[in-house]
Amino acid sequence: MTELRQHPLAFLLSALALIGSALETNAQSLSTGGFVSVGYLESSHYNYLADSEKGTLDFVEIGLNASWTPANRTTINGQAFLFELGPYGNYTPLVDYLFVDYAKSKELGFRAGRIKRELGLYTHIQDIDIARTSILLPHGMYDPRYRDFSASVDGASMYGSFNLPGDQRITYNLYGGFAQADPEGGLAGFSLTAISRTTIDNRIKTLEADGTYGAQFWYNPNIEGLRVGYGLSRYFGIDISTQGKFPDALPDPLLAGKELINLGQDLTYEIDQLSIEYFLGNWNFTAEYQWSHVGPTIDRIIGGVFFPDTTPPTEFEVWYANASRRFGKLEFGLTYTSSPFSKNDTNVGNATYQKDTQLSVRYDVNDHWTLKAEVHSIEGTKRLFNQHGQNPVLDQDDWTLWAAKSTFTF
Amino acid sequence: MTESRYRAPLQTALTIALLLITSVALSADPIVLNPENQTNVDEKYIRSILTGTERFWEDGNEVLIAVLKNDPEAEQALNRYSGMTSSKFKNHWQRIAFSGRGKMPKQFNNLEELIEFVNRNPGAIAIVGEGQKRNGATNSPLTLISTIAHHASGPSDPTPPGH
Repeated sequence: MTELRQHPLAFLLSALALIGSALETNAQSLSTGGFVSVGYLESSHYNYLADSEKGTLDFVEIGLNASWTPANRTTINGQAFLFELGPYGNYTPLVDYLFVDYAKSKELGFRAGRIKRELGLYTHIQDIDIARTSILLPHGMYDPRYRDFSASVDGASMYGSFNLPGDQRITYNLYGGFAQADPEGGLAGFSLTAISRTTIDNRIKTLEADGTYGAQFWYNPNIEGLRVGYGLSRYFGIDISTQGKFPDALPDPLLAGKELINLGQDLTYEIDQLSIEYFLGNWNFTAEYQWSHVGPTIDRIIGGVFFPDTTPPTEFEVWYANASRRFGKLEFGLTYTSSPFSKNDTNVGNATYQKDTQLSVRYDVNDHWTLKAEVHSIEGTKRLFNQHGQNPVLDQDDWTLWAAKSTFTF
Repeated sequence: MTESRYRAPLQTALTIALLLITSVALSADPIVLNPENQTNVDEKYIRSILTGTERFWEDGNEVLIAVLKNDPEAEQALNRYSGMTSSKFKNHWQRIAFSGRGKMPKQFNNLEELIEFVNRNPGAIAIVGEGQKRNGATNSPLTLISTIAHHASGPSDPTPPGH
C-alpha cells in the first residue's frame, strides 16, 4: 500500500488501462465524467489558503473519473485529480480514488482500494465544487489544505442501508486502512505554523501516519428530505516532528541560537461529528458540530535537552449552520461558522478563535457551467497558517475574504 | 424506395411499443424498463432507485437512469418520484457520481434516443411524462401504455431522499 501511495501515477495509469479495457469490452457499462474549476481569492488582510492579500488565481481543481461495471453487482471506480491552492497541490496528478465495489445487496456492500473517507456531509465530496452552493466549505471542519490525509484512505469499507418500521432508514459506512500525509500538505503546514513565529529555518523532520478507521451513520426519519448523522474518525500512530532554531539575537541566553525540536510520537487524532440536513422544496438547511482532540502530548527538545509536555491534550471544536435557497438558475446561501476557544489551546489572542459569516451566490449558466461568488466576514485568525511566513503578524482581529469560481463539468 | 423510407420510423415505433409494453404505469406517468427486466417495482422502489439506494436490480444488472432533458412534464414526474426538485436531483447525483458511488443519470434530448438507450441496456430505467402518453394516443403503438397499468406490486422500500 505504501508503494501505491508514493506512486500516484501508477494508480493513474492503472485507471487508464482499466478504462481502455472497458471501452473494448462493453462500452455501455462505462461511465466517465469530470470537472475543471478555476477560482479567485482576495482578502482585505492576511493570506488565507493562498496569497490572497494581493488577490490570486492559484485556486484550481481538475478531476477526471470513470466507473466501469465488469460484472453483476460489481463496479470499478476511479478518479484522477489535481489541484493548486497556493502552496498546496502544485498541479501534481494524484489518484483521488480507485476501488472495486461489490454490492451484495442494498444492506451489504464492500469497497477495497483507495476509497473516499466519509465523515459528515462533505468530507468525501470536499473537492466537488458543484455539489454545494458555497465555494469554501466551513473552515476548521472541511479544510482543503488537509485533503492529503482527509480525502481518501487506502483500505476497505463496508456499507449498506436498512429499512426500519414506519418508513425510516439507517445507512452506514465503516472503513479502515492507511492514511496519507504529505510533507507539503496541511498537517505539515499546521505543525510548522505552531513554531513559525518563535524559531527560524523551520522544517518537517518526520511526518508519518499509520492507520485510520471510522464510521458514518445516517438516520432518515419518516420526514421527507431530513437526515441526521453521526460520524467518527480515528487516526493512530502519527509521528510528526518539526525542527527549527531560535534566533541568535534572542534576549534569553538559554534559548538564543538553540535548536528546537517538537516531537510528536505515536499520536492519535480523534474526530467526532454530528450532522443534520433538511431540504424542503427549494430550501436547503444544514448544520454540523465537530469535536476532536490530538493526544497524548508533543514533547520538546531544546538544545539537546528533553522537556516532556505536561499539558493535557488539546481539544478542538467547530460548528456551522447554513441555509440556502434556489431561485431558478440562481442559488443564495448564508453560512455562519465558529471555531471557538479550544481547551488547552497554546495560541494567544485572536489566534484562539475564528468566526465566519459567509454569503454565497451560485448561478448555473447551463447544464455544464456554474459560476459562484461569495464574501466572508471573518473575526479571529485561528485558521491562518504561517509555515511559509505568509502571516507573520496577527495584528488585526477582523478581516474580509472574497472568492469567485467558475466550474465546468462534463 | 417507399419501403425503405418508412422502415426507420416503423422500427422506432415498434421498439417504443415493445419497451412500453414492459413499462410500469404509476399514477399517470409511465416508467420505462428494458423488456428483459422482470423486477416488480412500486413507487417506493422507484424512489430508492432514483435516490441511489438501490444500485442493482434483483437480477444483478446495474441500474442506469435515463431522463429527458427540457421536458417539463418528464421533469415533474421525476420530481414526484424522486421527492426532489430538479436541481436537488442533479446535485444529489453529482455527489454520488463524483465520489465513485454510482453513475450519473443519462440525459436525452428526445424520446427516441432515450427509448433506444433503455432498449440497449438491461438495467436501464426511464421516467417519461404525461405528454409522451398523450402523444401515444395519436400513435397506435404508444396507446399500449394504458393496458399495463398496475403492473407494480413490488417490495416495499421506504426511501426518503437525502441519501
